[in-house]
Amino acid sequence: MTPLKIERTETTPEICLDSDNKVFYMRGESLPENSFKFYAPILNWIDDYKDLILSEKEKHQQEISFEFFFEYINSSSIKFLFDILRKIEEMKSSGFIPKIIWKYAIDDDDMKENGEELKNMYNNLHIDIVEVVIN
Amino acid sequence: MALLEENQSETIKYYSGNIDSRIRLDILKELKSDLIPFSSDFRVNKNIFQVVDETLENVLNYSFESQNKANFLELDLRKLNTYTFSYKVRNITLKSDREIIESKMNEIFSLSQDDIKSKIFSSLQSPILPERNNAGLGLLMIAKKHFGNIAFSFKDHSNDSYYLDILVTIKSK
Repeated sequence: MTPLKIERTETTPEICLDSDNKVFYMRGESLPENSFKFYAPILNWIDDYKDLILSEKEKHQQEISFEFFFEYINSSSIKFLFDILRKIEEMKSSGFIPKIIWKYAIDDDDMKENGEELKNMYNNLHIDIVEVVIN
Repeated sequence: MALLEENQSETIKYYSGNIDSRIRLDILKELKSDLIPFSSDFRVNKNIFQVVDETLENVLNYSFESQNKANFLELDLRKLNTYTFSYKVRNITLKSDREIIESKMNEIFSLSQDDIKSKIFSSLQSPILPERNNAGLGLLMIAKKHFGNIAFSFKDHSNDSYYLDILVTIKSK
C-alpha cells in the first residue's frame, strides 16, 4: 500500500502512514486552515488500510503502534483525531492489535490531559501516555 | 465580568477588519511572537493562543461567511497584570439570529464542569460536516478551561445586525 507522508508546516503536523514498514505517526501542531481538507486524505488512507487488513486477517496478528505527538491541537483537529482513533479501534476485529502512544512534552499539561481524555473515551484501545523531555 | 481599563493594561494584539480562514492563520502566526514579550511561560502562552484560535474558528463557523456577506472581526488581547489577561472578540451577527445564539451560549455557560465534558464527548461523536467541522466544540473547550471567566453581550450595529462580543479573562494562576 502506498505510504501517506505529509511534511510538517506551521499549522499542520507531519504525517507518516507507512504500512510496509509499520511506521505510523503524527507529530507537530494542528490548526489547519481547513481541517476537513487536511484530514480527509488521512481518514481515507486509514479506511483503505483497515479494509486491507480485514481482508488479509491471518497476516496481521501482530501489535502495531500509532504515535501521536502534538505540541498543539485545536478542537476541529481533535474531532478528526477522535475519528482516526475510532477507525484504529475498528481494526481490532481483524485480530490486529493496535497500540496508541500518546506523547507530550514535559510540563505540557494540556496535551497530557488530551491524552488522558482520549484514553477514557477509548477504553478498548491500549493507549500509553508518555512524557518526553525536549532538549 | 469586569473589562479592562485602558490605562491599566498593555495591548498584546489588536486586529480590526475582515476575517477569513487565511487571515485567521496570519493572526495566529503573529500571535506567537506577539506573546513573547508579555509572558515567558509557554503554558500561559499556549492557553491564550488556544482561546484566540478557538474563538476565531467559532466566528468563522457561525458568522456571516456562510451567507456570503462581509465578515467583520475585532480582536483585543491585553495583559492586565502578571497573572491575568483579557481577551475580547467581536463580530457581527444578524438580529434574527440573536435568540438562537443567546440560547446556545447561555446553555454552554450554565453547564457544570462535568456537563461540559459530557457535551464535548457528544460533540466529538457527532458526524463531521465539511462546512462546519467543529461547530460549538471550540466554545465548549474554552468553557471547560476558563470556567466562570467567559461572558458575552450584544450591542446594536445596524437595523438588522448586532455586534456580538465574547469576553474571556485568562488567568495564569
